[in-house]
Amino acid sequence: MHFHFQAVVQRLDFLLSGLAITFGVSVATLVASLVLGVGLALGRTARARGIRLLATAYIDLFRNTPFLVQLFFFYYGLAEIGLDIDPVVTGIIALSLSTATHNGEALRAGIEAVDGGVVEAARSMALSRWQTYRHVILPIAFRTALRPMGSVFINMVLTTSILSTITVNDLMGNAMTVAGETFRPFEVYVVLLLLYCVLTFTLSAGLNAIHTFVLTRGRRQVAVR
Amino acid sequence: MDLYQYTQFTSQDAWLLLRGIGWTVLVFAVSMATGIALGAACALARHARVPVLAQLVTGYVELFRNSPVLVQLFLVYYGLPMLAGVRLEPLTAALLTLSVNTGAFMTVIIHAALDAVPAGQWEAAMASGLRYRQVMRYVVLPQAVRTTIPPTISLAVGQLQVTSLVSLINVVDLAKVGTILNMRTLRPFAVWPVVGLGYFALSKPLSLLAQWAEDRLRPRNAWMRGDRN
Repeated sequence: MHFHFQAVVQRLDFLLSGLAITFGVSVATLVASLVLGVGLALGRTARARGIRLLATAYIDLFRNTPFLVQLFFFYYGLAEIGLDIDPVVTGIIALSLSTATHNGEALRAGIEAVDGGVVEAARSMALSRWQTYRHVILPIAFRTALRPMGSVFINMVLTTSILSTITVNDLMGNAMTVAGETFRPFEVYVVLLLLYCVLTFTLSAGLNAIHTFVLTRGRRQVAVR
Repeated sequence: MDLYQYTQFTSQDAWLLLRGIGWTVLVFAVSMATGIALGAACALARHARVPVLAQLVTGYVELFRNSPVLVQLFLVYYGLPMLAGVRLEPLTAALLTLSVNTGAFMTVIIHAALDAVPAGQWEAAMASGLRYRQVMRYVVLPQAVRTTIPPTISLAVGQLQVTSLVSLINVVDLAKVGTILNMRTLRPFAVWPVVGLGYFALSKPLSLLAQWAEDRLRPRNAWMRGDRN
């Protein structure tokens, strides 16, 4: 058994250049999926039955089909009907639509966990329904949902690797290239596995710091429960 | 655009789709079963704090939970044969990877459930003269199993979607049949929704079961719900 990690080390700069795409896609998806997620959470808790059904159907559809199938539909399917979109953009769209369902459900759980008394107090202080959501319910719900949304985010970053199947040259895409060039798939994928682990450990350390910061700062600003 | 251009599927394609569903179900069922067994063994070792083994389990769990399944699949399918000098069949590589992957997630679920059984239960059982093995079998496990059911079914829903990745190492599952039909008919706009529908049909009942388990098996004991008296 001979390992040739030298081959990977020589191409490490190329491998790591894929990190930029992985990073960019992750940030874009984070923003888009948060916005969409808020929409879904509001839809799921809306008073109008039609809106609730629509949001539920959307979440059902995206949660019960594989991301790979969704991605191929957007990449190959949309091209067939004449919408030729860049693979990176397609990836961001597909990943956002899918990740939003997880963010939305985390936020919905946060909204449902808000104490009824707090909402009643806000309403009796003449806040409108929108103002109650904007200033009372959502800030509390976000704090509750922060931890689950953090793990949704990390999962999403790992899922960006699937975009390599539609020719996106992210970390995974570049690794496939290097594995093909060097004929050392074992070494390449071991290094890649560890790289992704380092990435997620760094991200969860960062998320923990944000979590602590938000919770302590929040407690000083408003007395929540 | 003419609607009838989408009707070029033959009965042969339906047969192909059904066979794809069969392989998807097989990969899912085998990897779930093996994963649960592996997870239970690892969780017990970790819970009992078996020296060395417990640390190894922690390393394994963190490694597999924090890297993409796609990388794991490629490492096993393309990498392992180079290392061991044997050629792995796609199906073998797929089952091996997904079992080990599911095992990592199951370890966390079962370990958390074991930890959730309060110390008082242990102390009471030990004080009654039961041995470790007996406490586990008659007192702790029956309570822990109940806690593991809802998260296990939720995991199963996720793992069912994950099986679609085995198509990328040439296992002819439902997603691979989709790729094949995509290539032949050049009608991806119709093919992928049909494939999605197949997955939906498999996944939706599981989701409903997960929802039911979540509602029905919510722990009755106050300490398990985390209620403060």
